[in-house]
Amino acid sequence: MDCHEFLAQMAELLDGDMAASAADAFDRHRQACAHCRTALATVEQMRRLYADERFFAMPEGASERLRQSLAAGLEEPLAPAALRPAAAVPSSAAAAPRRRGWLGFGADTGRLRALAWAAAAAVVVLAVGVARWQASASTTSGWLVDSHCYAAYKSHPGDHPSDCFIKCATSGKTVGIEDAQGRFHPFNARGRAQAIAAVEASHRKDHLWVTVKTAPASGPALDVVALTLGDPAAAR
Amino acid sequence: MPESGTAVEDDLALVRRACSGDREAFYTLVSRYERGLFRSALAITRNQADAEEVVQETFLRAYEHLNQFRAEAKFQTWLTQIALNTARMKLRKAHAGLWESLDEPRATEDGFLPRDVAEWRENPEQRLGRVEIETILHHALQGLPPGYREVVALRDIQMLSTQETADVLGMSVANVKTRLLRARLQLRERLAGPLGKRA
Ligand SMILES: [Zn+2]
Repeated sequence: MDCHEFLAQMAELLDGDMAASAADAFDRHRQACAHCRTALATVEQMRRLYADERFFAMPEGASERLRQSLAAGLEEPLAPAALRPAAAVPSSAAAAPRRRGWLGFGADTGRLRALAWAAAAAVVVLAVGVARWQASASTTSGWLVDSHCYAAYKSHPGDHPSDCFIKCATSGKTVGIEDAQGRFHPFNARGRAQAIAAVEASHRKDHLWVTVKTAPASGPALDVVALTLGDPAAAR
Repeated sequence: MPESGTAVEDDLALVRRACSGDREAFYTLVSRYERGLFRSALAITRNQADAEEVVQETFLRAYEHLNQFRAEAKFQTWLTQIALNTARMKLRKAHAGLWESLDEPRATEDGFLPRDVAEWRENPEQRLGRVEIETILHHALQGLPPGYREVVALRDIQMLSTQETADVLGMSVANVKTRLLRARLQLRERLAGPLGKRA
C-alpha cells in the first residue's frame, strides 16, 4: 500500500467503511510511514474537535429566541399545510392569475401564427449558419471553472460546485475551461453567457465538464460558439 | 435521554401530527434538530447572528411547506437542504463582493500527499481556552473553498452520515468521500500552525 492508497483507505476508515481485507496492509503502512501516521492521527484529532458540541454551540438565549420567532411565525395565517385546500400552495397561487392575464390579453391567433412562421424562418437561417461554421470549427473539452477558484480546485476541478461557479461568474470573475493539460483558457462574452445558462439549466452540483465548439483563430479568450455540459467519462 | 421502554417517536409521525395542526409535535422536531442545524449554519455563514437567522427561517419555511415533505425522504435531510439554501442565500447577500478576499484560495497542488506533516500537541483543550480553540477551528474553516466548507459542515460538524450529506448536496456518496478527504486534509494543514507542536 502506498501513501495515496493509504489516504483513500483512511477516508473509508473514518467513515467506518474500511473493508476488513484492507486492514492489515493499512496498518503496515501506518507503522512504516511517519507522514501517513501523523496525517491519520491529526485528522482524527481534528474530527474530534469539530464534533465536540462545546464548539459552534448555540449561544445563550438562542433557543428561546427561536421559539419566540416561531410562536409569532406559526400564529400567522399559515395554517398547517394539510388543512389548506390542495390548490392553495402560496407561491404558485400568487403567480398563476397574473400569468393567465398576460397570455389572455391581446394575443390573437393571427399574430401568434405570424410569430410561429418568423421563428421557423429563423431556425432555417440558423441551420445554414451553423453548417457553414461547422466546416471550420474546432471542439475542445475540459472542466468549467472560473479564474477565482482555479487555484483552489486546480488538482481536482471536478469538485468545483456549480453554485460557486455561478457566484463567481455573476460577480464578474473570468470564467473558462481547464484543459487536459491543466491550463486555464478564458471564454469570450458569448461563452460566458452560455456557460452560465448551461449550469443554471442543469441539476449538476459538481463535475462541470464541458465540450465547447470554438471558432478558429481565437484570440486570448476562447471564442465559444456552442457549449454543452457533459460527462467527463464519455468525453475521453 | 429517551426513557427505556418508550420508543422515541419517529420524525414522520411527528410531521404527520404537525400537519394536522399539532404545534407540540412541530416543537419536538425543533428541539431535535435546532442544535445540529445551528452548528452547520454557523460553519457556513461565519457568524452567530446569521446562523440564528438561518435556523429560524429554516423552521418557518419547513412549517410552511410541511405538506410538501415526502415520506420517502428523511426529515433531517429535507430540513438540512432548506437550511443550506437559506445559508447560501444569506452568504451571497451579506458577503457579496467581500467573500472573495476572505476566501483567497491557496494552491495546494500535487494532490495532497502528506509530506512534512507537523504533529499536533495532545489535547489542545487542556492548553487553550474554549473560545480560543473555537476561534482557531472557525478561522481554519473559513479558508476552505465553499464546496469544501459545506461538506465538512454537514459531515463533521452537523454529523450527518455520508449518505445524508450526499443527499443534501445532491452528489454521489463516492464524490462526497473524495471531496471530504481533500477538505479534511486541507483543513488539517490549516490547523497545523495554531495547534501544531511548533506553535
Ligand atoms: Zn504514507
